[in-house]
Amino acid sequence: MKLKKDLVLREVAGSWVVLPTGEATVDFNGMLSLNDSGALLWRTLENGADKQGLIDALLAEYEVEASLAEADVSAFLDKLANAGCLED
Amino acid sequence: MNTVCPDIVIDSAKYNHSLYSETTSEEQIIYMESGRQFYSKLIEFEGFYLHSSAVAMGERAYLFSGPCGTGKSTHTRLWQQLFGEAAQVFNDDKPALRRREGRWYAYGTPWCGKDGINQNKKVPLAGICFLKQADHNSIRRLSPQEAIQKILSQTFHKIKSAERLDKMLTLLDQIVREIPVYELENRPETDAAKLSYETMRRGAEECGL
Repeated sequence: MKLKKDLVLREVAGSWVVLPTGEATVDFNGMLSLNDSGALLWRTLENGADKQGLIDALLAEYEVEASLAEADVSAFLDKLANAGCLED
Repeated sequence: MNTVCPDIVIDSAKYNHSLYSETTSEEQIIYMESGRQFYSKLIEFEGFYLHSSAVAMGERAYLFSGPCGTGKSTHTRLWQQLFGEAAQVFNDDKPALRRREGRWYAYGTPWCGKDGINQNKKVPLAGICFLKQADHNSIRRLSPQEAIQKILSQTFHKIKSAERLDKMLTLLDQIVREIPVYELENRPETDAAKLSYETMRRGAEECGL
């Protein structure tokens, strides 16, 4: 799984936003808001990760049940797919 | 001999006509394209535009923002109805906002809308309010996250240069931390103007603006 190129994650006034730059400005509309765990998952994905890698990243950072982590990761990936952030 | 070197030069040869439909007049294209060039460059000078109607009450500027048709000009006209000469609308389309020496200012610009309401003035920014049509009047302060999303929706949010995007986000971070941002659900009536004025004036005082 890969993030599309030219999507920028940045902290703005205490919250995380994703905005397009370069070529991504053509297709990516609007802005994505992420919470802290979403930002962690995004950064993990930026370095290249599969679904299990994302789950592991959550489990390393948060005290949470594995099943919940999996559910969170699925929801996160759905959100990204719907927003057009993932490479086909 | 003193030569004035402009910081921003608008190049009409670079106007991109292909972005517009055939029904768009040449005048409108010039307005939009010159604005695009100016405001793109302005980011490098710590400034950006907010699609809004800007009204000054003494040394405080209040901006009413939102998509086309949400009643920005209607609302600032209500302020003029209520306060007369004390309320000066100094830009009705795209005032420039700039952070200078730790303070935010709103500026009149030539990009002022079809009615040409425009004053060449610079007023300390005291608050920003997003409008929403409703069957009642109520106002609330927006969270930083909500404010960011609303402000971005009414300014450039597709910035090709990564460097400029970073600069824009820095400005956004600063403005959201330093200027109170509200949402006003309203009917087009003077009570709505009274509510926005009272709330934003108080908010400005509390923030020392």
